[in-house]
Amino acid sequence: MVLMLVAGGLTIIFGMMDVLNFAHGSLYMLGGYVGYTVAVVTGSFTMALLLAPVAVGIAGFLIEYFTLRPLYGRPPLHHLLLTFGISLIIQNAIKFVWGNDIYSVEPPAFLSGAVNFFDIYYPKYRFFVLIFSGFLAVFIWYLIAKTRYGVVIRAGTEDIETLEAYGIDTRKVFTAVFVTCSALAAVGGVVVAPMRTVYPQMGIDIIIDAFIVVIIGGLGSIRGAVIGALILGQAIQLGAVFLTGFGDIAIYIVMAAILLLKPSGLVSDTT
Amino acid sequence: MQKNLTKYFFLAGFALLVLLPLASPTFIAEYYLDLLTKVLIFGIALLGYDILAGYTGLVSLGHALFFGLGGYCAAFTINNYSTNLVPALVVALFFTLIIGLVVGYFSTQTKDIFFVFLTLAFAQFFYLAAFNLTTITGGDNGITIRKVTLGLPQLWESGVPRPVGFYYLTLFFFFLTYAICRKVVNSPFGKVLEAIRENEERVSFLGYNVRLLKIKSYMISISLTAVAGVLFATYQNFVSPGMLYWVISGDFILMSVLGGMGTLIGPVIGGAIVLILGDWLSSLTENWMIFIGTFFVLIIIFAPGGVVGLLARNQRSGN
Repeated sequence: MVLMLVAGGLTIIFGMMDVLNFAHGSLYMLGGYVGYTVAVVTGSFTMALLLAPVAVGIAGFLIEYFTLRPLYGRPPLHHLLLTFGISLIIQNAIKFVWGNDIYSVEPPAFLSGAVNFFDIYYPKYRFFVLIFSGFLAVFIWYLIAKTRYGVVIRAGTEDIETLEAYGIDTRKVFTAVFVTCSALAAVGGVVVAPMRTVYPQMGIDIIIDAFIVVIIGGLGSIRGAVIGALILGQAIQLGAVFLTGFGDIAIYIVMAAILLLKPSGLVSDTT
Repeated sequence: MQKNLTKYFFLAGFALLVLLPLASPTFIAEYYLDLLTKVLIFGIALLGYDILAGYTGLVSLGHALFFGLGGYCAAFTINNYSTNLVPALVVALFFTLIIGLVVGYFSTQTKDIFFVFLTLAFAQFFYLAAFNLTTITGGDNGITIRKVTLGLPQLWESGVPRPVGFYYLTLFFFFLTYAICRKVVNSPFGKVLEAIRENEERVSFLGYNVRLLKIKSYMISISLTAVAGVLFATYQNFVSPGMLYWVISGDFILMSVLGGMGTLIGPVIGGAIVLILGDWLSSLTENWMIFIGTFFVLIIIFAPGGVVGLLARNQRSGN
């Protein structure tokens, strides 16, 4: 589910701006680390969940304003390379500040423990993550499908020049989209911290998975990203069951298979 | 005039590389020789990489697959059959051609970003396989390789210190690779590859089999990468799944773009910058990639042609 938050942001940014953002995993990671520090300093997980996205949103703004802006109109590969460089900077900056240690974050008290769910004990926090990301996903869907902002975003993925002709400042829209999606990735990073800790490889781990999700689903398709996230989750689980020790390989087999059979991804329309 | 200048520049570089180890009576410090050898080994891989990424316009994120494959093939041949370098190279090229044909056949169905990720998927597949098949590959621990000997044992062991010997061996392969790549790039075949990069559709309208050309370019590229892999593993006397990891492929891209893609010498210079600068910076701070990353970002924004493109531009404006 957390993967969906990251992959969703990735795909919106790509659909809108033609930017394949390699640094998205690093922003997610930054969210996790900032969230950890906020949680330690204030002692409140809720504060972390609120402040980390703001901090990462600012970072996203700086990235968009100073490095991406000069590059619009160049081939998508340039953006991939640029954000690859940015991810190197962010990751090493994080190592510089927080070191190589692994940090665990305590979930808030009312979410620790387990729930009894038809005689199956399920950690309460995981349940919360499931519902929380679900709500967030529905909220984003609502934003895109039903509001005026959503209309602009959808129009932007279709034809950016026409949108501009209607008198909308696409540069501002780009910045807003990039900042929002960065904040979204940070939410993912904070939410995931109590489950999987905060560690130096978390950015790389998620970005590869998120890319696979986005590619499987069809670049730029939000619906595709959701489907892709679900397929990927299944592939990892099944892989772990049937190919013991090779669970990770299953992801790549699925991705290669889908790319070969349907090179443009499962959902090739852009909605 | 312009052309002559470049020629002199190249000759000077050539002489410098050949004579450098002899600069002081006790040979140049082993430390720098080691660094230079690595620069040359990466240079071989990057020359190969440039044929595909720079000239054909297919950016691969899966070249680590063949870098590592070369390493593992070298490990098996040298440890089990002969410590001679030549059979290791032959075995490595053999397997590279077989696996490369399969990967290349499928990957070239796609292009642009999809090509990037399909090649990545294949490479990660092999990385995870090498990581998990502990009985064959030793898993994360890797394999220690016996010391390699060259086809001419008397020359090799007649008192030339190993680092110097290996340096000249690498230098030989580097120049060989450079000559091959230059020839490929200047041939009609190379020109068609460039045409594919610029406009694939037009090339196919002219009656060329674009797919086949792409596969050919891919095969040349990965063969050279595999040679670099063999040299790297035998030089380190060690091979591990790390050589197959996508970070290596990422480094290839990073170095190529820094130096300037599609110029052959550019990526080599880029590789030298990253390795030498990285070596120097890593003595100052553990997180030296911040600086390389910043440098890289600046290059992409202000000089997409890389360092070589930057130099060429200055020269032109100077005239």
